[in-house]
Amino acid sequence: MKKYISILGAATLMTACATEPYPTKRPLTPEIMTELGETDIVVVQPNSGITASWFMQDSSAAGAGYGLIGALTVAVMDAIANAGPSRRATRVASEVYETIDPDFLSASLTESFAALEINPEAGYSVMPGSVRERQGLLETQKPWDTIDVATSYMLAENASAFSVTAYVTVARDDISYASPYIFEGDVPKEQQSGDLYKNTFTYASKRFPVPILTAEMKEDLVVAIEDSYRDADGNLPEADSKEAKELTKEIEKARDNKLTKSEASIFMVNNWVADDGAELKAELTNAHDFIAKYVLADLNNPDVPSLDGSDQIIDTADDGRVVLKIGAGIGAGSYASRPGGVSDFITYGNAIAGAPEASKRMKMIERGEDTSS
Amino acid sequence: MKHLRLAMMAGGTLLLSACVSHEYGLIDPVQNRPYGYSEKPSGPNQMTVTTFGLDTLRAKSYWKQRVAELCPKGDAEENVYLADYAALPNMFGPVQSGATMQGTVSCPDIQNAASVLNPEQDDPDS
Repeated sequence: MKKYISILGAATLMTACATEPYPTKRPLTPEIMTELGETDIVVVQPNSGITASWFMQDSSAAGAGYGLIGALTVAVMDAIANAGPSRRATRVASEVYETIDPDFLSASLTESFAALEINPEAGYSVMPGSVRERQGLLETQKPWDTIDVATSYMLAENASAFSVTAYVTVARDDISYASPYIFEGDVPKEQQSGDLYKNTFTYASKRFPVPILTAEMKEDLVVAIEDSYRDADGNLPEADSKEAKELTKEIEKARDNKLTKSEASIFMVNNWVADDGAELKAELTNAHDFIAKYVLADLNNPDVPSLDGSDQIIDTADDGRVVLKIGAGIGAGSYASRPGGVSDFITYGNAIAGAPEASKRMKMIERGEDTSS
Repeated sequence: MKHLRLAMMAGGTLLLSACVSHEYGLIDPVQNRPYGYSEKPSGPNQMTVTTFGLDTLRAKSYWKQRVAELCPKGDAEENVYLADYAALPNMFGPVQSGATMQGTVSCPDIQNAASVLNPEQDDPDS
């Protein structure tokens, strides 16, 4: 009998975990829009800056069936395979950081919100108030009654493009969230409280074409790889060290006739940082203007998304760039701006690397030190 | 023992791959057809087409094939705004990785595709 009760209990627990999915977006109701009226905007400083994505190899599942030796073998193989891409992604993020740091990013987004001009004919109830920045490491609590905008920035695996995602929320301590969905039984816990408004806005940058590998590029690649292994005094790793083995392996790969996405990132990042980051700054301004414009539009849109809708193109620019409202899945109701006339595929890896300078800056902020110099 | 295990793994993989169709066609998760194309009208003489393939070559070939079917006279105007490869689950079914292309295709042969959308509905400028 006890056995059956245990099984029943476990089954109940498992069912409780499998709640029905709902779109992440939470629209405001017209009543709450009116109640909010002019609302201040708070831009959260993106402390990681622009990160670089890379593909992390994980063969642990394959090695698990062969006992401890198998697990150790694949762990060593993975470590060697991942060393190069991880190091290169860190280097790429660091190069970008030298041109664009978190202060630039939050100032640029703040500027886009401040410059926003709302057409009176749009009939918005929620209007932008003052705009300020929030340092999440010091001001950890999201302020009530504001439009809170957090962002993340990520380069594609080959650094030919990047994406900016804004996570926007509004919360009030005097108004409780009421889910717009109808439930057969009890309202699921995650639909009972929390933010009044929540949505995501993603900007995909334009893409630079990946060059065809030349002999000169191969040698440049070797030099770049060697540089990334040099210590502060410019010395390469000692022979027979773990780093020296990784370096040898990387140089072997660089001299083959295949330009991997990770290797390509060394060249592609130059497109973004050249001319004091002119291309990067221009695309960031476009991204931030898109976010500011559509956040305010969406705050005034009471439509409730459903899981089974379809994508809707709501704007097409002369250069083919489209703004889409995502129609299906848990991302339904979110907005995406994508470049038109795309021909090359890109990949965002499954791991990200930030610039070491970004980590240093975060530690300085936590210690209360000045980061402006 | 090791060989037996390997043989069983290979057999299992074969059985699993046999369940999923990689042939060109309309995406239909119910029919275990996660690869191919899906589409919907998005304007006068215009269709928004999405293709999903196991790899970038397949996604591209599905795209070309569907464009040729929609506009057999070769007068298609295309605007691809998504070409991504992801090692992630996707909305079309239990697939762990794949390449997606999405964009609009316009030509006079795409008839009865008068917009079912109202593009101005969410335009903040309107």
